This record gives sequence, C-alpha cells and structure tokens, in this order.
Amino acid sequence: MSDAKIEVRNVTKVFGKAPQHGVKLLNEGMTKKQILEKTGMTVGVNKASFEVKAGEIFVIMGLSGSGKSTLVRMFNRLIDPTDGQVLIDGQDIVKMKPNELREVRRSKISMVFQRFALFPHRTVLSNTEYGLEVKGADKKKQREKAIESLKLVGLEGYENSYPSELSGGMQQRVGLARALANDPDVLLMDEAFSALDPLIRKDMQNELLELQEKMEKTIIFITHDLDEALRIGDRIALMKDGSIVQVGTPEEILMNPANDYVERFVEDVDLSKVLTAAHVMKRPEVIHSDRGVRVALQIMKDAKISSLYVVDKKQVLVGAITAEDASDALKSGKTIKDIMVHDIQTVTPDTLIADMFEQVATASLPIAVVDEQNRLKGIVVRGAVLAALAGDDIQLNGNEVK
Amino acid sequence: MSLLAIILSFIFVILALVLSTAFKLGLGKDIMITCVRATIQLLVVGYILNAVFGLDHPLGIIIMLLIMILVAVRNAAKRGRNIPFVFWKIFITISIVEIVTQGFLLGLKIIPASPQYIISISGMIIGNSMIIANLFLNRLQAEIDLRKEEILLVLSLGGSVKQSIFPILKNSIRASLIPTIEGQKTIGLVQLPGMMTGQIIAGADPIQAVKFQLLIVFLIMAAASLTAIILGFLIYPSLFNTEEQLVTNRFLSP
Repeated sequence: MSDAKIEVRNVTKVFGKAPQHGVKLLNEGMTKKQILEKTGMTVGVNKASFEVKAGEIFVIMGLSGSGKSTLVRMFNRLIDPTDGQVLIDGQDIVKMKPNELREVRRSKISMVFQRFALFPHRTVLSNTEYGLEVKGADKKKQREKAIESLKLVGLEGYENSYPSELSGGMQQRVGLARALANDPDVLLMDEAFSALDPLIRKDMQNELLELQEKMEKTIIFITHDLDEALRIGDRIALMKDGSIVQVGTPEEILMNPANDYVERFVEDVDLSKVLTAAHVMKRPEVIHSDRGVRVALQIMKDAKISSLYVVDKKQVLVGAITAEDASDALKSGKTIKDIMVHDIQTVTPDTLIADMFEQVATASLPIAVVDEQNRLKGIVVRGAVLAALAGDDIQLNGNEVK
Repeated sequence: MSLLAIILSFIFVILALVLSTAFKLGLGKDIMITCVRATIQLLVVGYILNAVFGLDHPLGIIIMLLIMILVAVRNAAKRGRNIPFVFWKIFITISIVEIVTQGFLLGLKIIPASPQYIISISGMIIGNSMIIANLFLNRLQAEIDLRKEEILLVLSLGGSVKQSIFPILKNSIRASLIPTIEGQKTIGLVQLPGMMTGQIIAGADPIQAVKFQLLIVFLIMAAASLTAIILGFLIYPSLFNTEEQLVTNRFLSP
C-alpha cells in the first residue's frame, strides 16, 4: 500500500447515447475528437490516473471544458464514471450503494462550490450546521461544531447574519465552514475562489494555506487559474481535453513541462512569483565571531569573495564583515566584533523572489537567508536571481515550492 | 346573434390588419391565421357540443372530456420534453384534478349532472390546469438551472434526493400558483369574468351569475393547487437516476 489517500485509476467519463461503446473506442486508440465526429459522444474525462497523498493540496488545473469539474464530481460521485475506479482509503467509491455513499459523503468528503451554494433564507450559523443536520447530529452538538467551524474561518460574530448581507469572500468562508463542520478527511473545492475578485481571492488563498497548516486535510482544488494553482498547490495535475497531461510539483511543471501544451501554458508565468529564496540561495561562507581577522581574510581569499557573514556557535547570524574593513583591522589590531556590520538585509527561505527585488537591487552585500531562529541558511547573490528568472538551465535547489 | 352580425364583426379583424400594415408590425399573416383558426375551431366545437348535448349519453361526455385533456396535455408536455413519461405524468395529474373536482360537484349535487354543466366547467378546469402545468414546469426548469449547485451541495453532504430537491419544488409550486391567486384578487373590479359576462348577456340575473362565478373561482383555486402539487411530486423523481444523481440534461438541454 502507498500513502495515497485517494487513488484515481483509469477514470473515464463519456457523455452520450452509448457511453460504454465510447470507452471501447478510447481503448482502441481513438481520440476524443474522432469519437465526437464518429458517434457524437463527448469524452468528458479520458483515463485519468493519479494519486493524492494524505494531507496535500492537490490542484487539478485546466481551461474551461477540460473536464476538471466532471472529474472532481466523480470523486464523491455526483456523477458516475463510465469506467475506472476511485479509491478513497482503499474503498472503491464507484462500487458503493447509495446508502454507503451517503455515509461517506456525510463523514469523509465535503465539497465547496464555486457560487457558494448557500441557502438564502438560513442564517450563517444555520447554513454552517446544514451538513450536521443532514447527518442527524444532535442539536447542541451541531451548534457547537458550527460555531467552532465559523471561528476557524474567521467569521465569529456573523452567526446570525444572512448570506445576502455578506461579501463574496465572506460567503465563501461560510461555504468552507459548512464543509469543515462535518470534519471530513477530504475537501473537494470546485473553483472555490473563482467567483471572487482578485484581491479577495488572494486573501482566501493565503487563508486556505494557513488553515491547511492547522487542519492537514486532503484537499483537491479545481481551478482554471495557473497562478492560483502554483500558489496553493503542493502538486498540480494539468488537464487538457479530458486527459491528464502532467502531474507534478509547481516547480516540476514550470521547469520540465511534459509537452508543448504545458510549455505554452506556463511560458508566461512570472517565475519571480513562484520561485523563492530557497530556490536560488547558495551555501554561505561564514566565520565564527570569536575567530581572528586573519582567518577571515584567508577564507575570503580562498572563496574569492569580498565579504563574509559572521555567525555564533548556533549558526545564528550576528553580522557581516567586508574584506576592506578586515585588512584595515589587521593593521590597526581590531577584532571581528569591532568591524562587524550589524545592519544586514535578511529574508526567509520562503520569501518570493518577487518580494526581494528591491533588496537585491540596493544591498551592498549578498542577501542573507535566515530561518525563524535567525540561523543563516544561505545567501542570495544578484546573479543567481537573474539566472533563475531567465529560466534557462539553472540549477535550482531541491526545495519544494511552498 | 344573426349571421349578418358575425360577418359585420369581421370589421374588427380588418381594423387590426390595417393597423398592422400601417405601422409595419408584420403581424398581418398571424392575425389572419388566428382569426381563421378561431372561426373554424369554435364552429367545429359548437357543432360537436350540439351533438354531444343531443346525444345525452355518458360515453359522449367522457370521450369529449378525454379529447380536451389530451389536447391540454400535449400542449403542456412541450415544456419538459426530455423528462421521461412527462406526457403521462401530466395526463395523470390533469385527470386526477378533473375527477376530484367533478366528483365533488356532482357528488354533492352542486351542479346538475348534465353535459352543459359538466363540459363547460371541465373546460375551464382543464384549461387552467394546463396553464398551471406549463408555469410549473417552466419555473422548475429555471429554478434547477439557477440552483443546481444547491442540489449538488445537499447531495454532496449526504442528503437524500428528496432533501435536495424539496426547497426548489416548493418554490416552483408556489410560483406557479401566484398568477392564479393574484388574478382572482381583482376579479370583477377590472373586468368581468368571461363566463359571467356570457351569462349576463344571455339574460341571466347578475346575482345568479355571480354565485356561479364564485363557484368557479373556488374551483379553480383548488384545481390549480392540486395540479401543481401532484405534478411536482410525479415529476421530481425523474430528475434523478437510480444512483441518486441529478440528471441535468433532462431539463437543461433543449
């Protein structure tokens, strides 16, 4: 067994008069277009296979008509696959009887819809409780769960409002709270943020990421927006004409597009908004603060560099020295502590390159990359940033894009 | 009314035609067709009614009613062409409404059991049911189109088919009844109902005509509600398949 939460095996959906015949034609190697011309049937999803790991955000991305919504609706079987299997925790959803399926929908999978699907005549609280109501939980527990869930999405205090009184972003939070109230393992989000305006959308994306850190649900997120996919996806499946074209981390998709289609798709992506400091940083040359100036000069000479970061025994960054100051110090007998510069530009490993442009442009020293404990993890030099953005044949560090 | 009077009344048709031509409304052909059809249909119905009344046999009445129902069903069924058995579902609905209303009318001896009464009143009931069925299907279609996500949401949370469609069904039933209820509110104030007008012209006492019209108003209320509710409950299961999935193309595609 793998650590897959959801396994999708050869899932196919054919719309039309004789779907099974359509599957046969696909097996014989006909394309979606040929089948449409010959039989008038539409291949919605063509033999999709992939695995979704527990706790990851798996983005299914494609343009409209690519079959992504059809695909995700087969995971909770709002639509029946014509062929193939969908295993959730090893159980085949496709084979389940209606009552078993209802049970899975009540406890394991929840869905968030593009246009929120809130009941206009119920309050926010009552909307949030809906799933539990269907489940038949007792009234008091429903209320507790729903309040907790609303708190989680930041809607405390809005319990008694009606959906029409809320902004789009807030309405979708209610949708999310409702889905979470059932405490499902799997969250299906079908273009959940696509109806929101761009700024709200970005906020929601960030908030989803924050929430995910606490919840660790398995999230399947459908979108037609590549930026959104790259921003929130741990892994992305790209769909075209019903087929999965490529599955990979955002970085893999950008750097090694599987074919021309993906390449054309990603060529306009602003790499600076995907790549982070961790991708372009180099291993730093450092010196401990209690060592001598002479050693520092030697290190700089060997590494052919003109400045050096100073750390303490725990690798915590304390400052930097330049070669010029060091040779002056050698003559005047000063120590490293005397000549050390404290005012250093730092970033964290997950800072986007787009957010470091100004620092890169103005800093006289390479930029220090530090973690939360201020330990020096690497340095970023101007040349590495430019090379990364040019995108050609650069050696990126093996860090996953966050 | 003399034949001459009818021929003279064609002046009104000519007036409509002249106006249509003068203002380039392009309705000349439609006006002609409508007038010719109305003339032929009504004349034929007149002769048929004459025959049925003369026959005075239950079978004649039943056949007449059946034909009326079938024509009404055919008209209403156009709305939900993709729904399996929609014709028969509307047929059953209108038949039940007709049987129930006539059952009360005749059983309680509110009206005499003569073809004049049965057929005229049935005509109003069936016609009204046809309009309600039309409105209901139209509204249901629009509601499902608009609130599809809501249905899917309820299903996705493990709700039953009934739970998912019920609010929409209720809304559609309500909406299809509103014109009937609203229409009856101003009855008599703006225009006199056709049947009452007819009775008064035929020389009946206005109070007598009013009493009769009241009966019809009450009847139509009951018939309308019955139609919408029965049809609603007959139709909704066919919007889903045996796997409890919403089969949207039953309504949404032409």
